Amino acid sequence: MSSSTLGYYVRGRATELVGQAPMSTERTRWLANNLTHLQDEETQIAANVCAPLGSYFTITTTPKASYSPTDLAPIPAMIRAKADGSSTRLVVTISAYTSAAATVNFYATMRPKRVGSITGTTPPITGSTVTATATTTSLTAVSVVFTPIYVTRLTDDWLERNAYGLDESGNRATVKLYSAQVEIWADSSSVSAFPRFESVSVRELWG
Amino acid sequence: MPITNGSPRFVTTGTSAVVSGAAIQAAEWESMCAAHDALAASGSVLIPWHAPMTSISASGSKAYTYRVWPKYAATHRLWSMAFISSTSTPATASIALSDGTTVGALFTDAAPRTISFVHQLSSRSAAEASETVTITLGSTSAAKVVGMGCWEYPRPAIALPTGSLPFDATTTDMGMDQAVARALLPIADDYAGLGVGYMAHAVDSLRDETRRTGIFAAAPFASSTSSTFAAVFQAPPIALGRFLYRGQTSALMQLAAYVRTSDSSTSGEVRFTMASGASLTLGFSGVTSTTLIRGQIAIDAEDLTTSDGRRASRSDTCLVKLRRSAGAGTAYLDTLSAGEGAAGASTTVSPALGIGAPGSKKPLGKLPPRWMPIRRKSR
Repeated sequence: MSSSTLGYYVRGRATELVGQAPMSTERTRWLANNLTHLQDEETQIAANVCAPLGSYFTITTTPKASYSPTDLAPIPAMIRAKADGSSTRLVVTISAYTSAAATVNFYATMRPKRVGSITGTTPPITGSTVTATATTTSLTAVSVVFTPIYVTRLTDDWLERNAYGLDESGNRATVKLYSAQVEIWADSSSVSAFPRFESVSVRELWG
Repeated sequence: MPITNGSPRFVTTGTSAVVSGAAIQAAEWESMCAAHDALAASGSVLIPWHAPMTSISASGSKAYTYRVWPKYAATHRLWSMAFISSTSTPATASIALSDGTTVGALFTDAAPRTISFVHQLSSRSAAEASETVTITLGSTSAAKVVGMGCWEYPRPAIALPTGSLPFDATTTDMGMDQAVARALLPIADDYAGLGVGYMAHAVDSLRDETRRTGIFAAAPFASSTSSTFAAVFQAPPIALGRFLYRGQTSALMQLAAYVRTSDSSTSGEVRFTMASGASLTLGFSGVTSTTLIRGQIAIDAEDLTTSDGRRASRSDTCLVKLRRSAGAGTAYLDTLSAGEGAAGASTTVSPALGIGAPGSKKPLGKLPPRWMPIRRKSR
C-alpha cells in the first residue's frame, strides 16, 4: 500500500527551484509526495538464505503435531517505527515441502532480537511475538509466502542494544534502532514426515 | 539542529495544508525537513543475512569476500555471525575485517549461536568496494559458519552540507536546518539546509541514499569440472527492486562474484537467470587468484498495490549456475553479492505535471484532478 499521494516519485528539474524562481503549491506537494514515496521504498531486504546444493533445513526433533524449532539460525531483521507506533512489515518466503505424505505447517515468528541459541521445544509465544502460518502437503519444494508479520506497537524491548553512530558534530551518540529476530518453526501431521525447506527470504515492507 | 534519529517518521503530505493563495506554513516545511533527515540518516542492510554453511577446522581459517555498495552517511556497521561448535568444548574465533579491525568470539553449542559487534569505519565512502571477513578458529574446536550479515547503522543526526549547490550526497552529509525552518522561511535558492532549491536537490539525491544496498549475498564456495551448467544452490535467492517512477515494472540489480580457476588454462562461467526473464552470463579465464567479475541484470520492481509487494504474484528468483567452460582444471565460485547501485540523477520531466522550465515559453500542463488548486473565497 502506498503512503504517498501519487504512489510514485515525480521527476522534475531540481534546477527549476533555484535562481529566485517562485515556489508554487504544486511544487511543494511534489516534494512532499516524493519524500513519502521514498519512505515507502526505503525498505530493506533482511535475508536471503539458500541451502547448499543437496541440503535442506528441517526440524531438530522427531516430527510431531506441535511446534518444533528448525536448524535454521535466527535471522536478524532491521525494522522501523511507523507513525502509528507499529513496525514495518516483514514478508517471509520459504521454499518448502514434506519428506513424506503428510500435512506440514510452517510458522514464521518474529520476536525481539536476542543473542543466543534457540532453546526448548515450546513455541516462543510471548506478548511480543508474532506468528504467521503456512501449510503444504507437497513432496517437492514449492514457494510458500507468509502473510506479512509485524508488531502492532513497538516497545523498548525491540530496540537494538548498543546501537550508536556519529552525530552532526562527529561525536558518538546512541541511535534508536529497532530490530527483530525471525525464526522458522514447523510441525507435522505424521511422525514419519519431516517438514523441510530449502530457502528463506525476509524482506521489509512499509505496509 | 538536524533531527535525532529514532523518532517515528511521518510526513504531512502537504496536500491538504498547502493550498493555492496561502502561505506555505513553516510547520509544514519543518515536517518535511524532519522526514528528509530521517531518510538521509536511515540505516541499511549492506550484506543480507545468509548461511555460508562452511566448516572451519580447529586452528583453521576461512575468508569471505563480499562486494558492497555503501552509503556515504554510514559511520558504523553491525556485523552478525552465527556459529555451531562441533563439540561441547568452548570454541574461540578471531574475526578480522578488511581495515585490520579484529574482534574475538567465544561459543559452545550444538545450536546456532549468534555473535554481533559494531565496527566504526575509519573513513566514510560511497564507493563500491570489497569487504573481507576472515575467521580464524582456536585450537580447541572446529565450527561451522551458519549465518553472516552486516548492517549500516542509522545516524543519530545528520549534518548540514558543506559547499554550495549542487551538493553531492556521496561526499557530504545533507541535513536540513529544522530549527530555522520553524521560523519564517526565506525562499532562497542555495541556502544550505533550508532553501527551497536545496530541499529539491536533497530529495533528488535521496533516491540513491534510500536504495537497497543489499539484495542477496552468498558464500557457496562452489566448484565445477563439468561443461554443463549446474545450480549452485538448492533453492535460488529472491530479488525485488524498488519501484520509483510511474509505469516502472523492473529495476536494475548489480551483481558481483568472486571467482578463480585452478590453473591458467581453465575458464569458467557463472550464469544468472531471473524468473522475470532476464539472463546474464559472466565469464572468467585463467585467474588463479580470487578475482572479481561484475554485471547487472533486470529484476522485478516492487508493486505497492499488492499486499506483499510482489509483482505479478511471483517471487523473482535468481537461479545461479556454474560451469567450467574450457580447460581441464576446476572453476570456482567463492562468493556472490547483489545490491542496487546508485541510480544517478534524473532530469526527465514528469509528464503528469508538465512542469515547464523557468524562462521557457512552454506553458504549464494541466494538473491531475487531485491537485486542482482550491481557490479561497474573497473576504
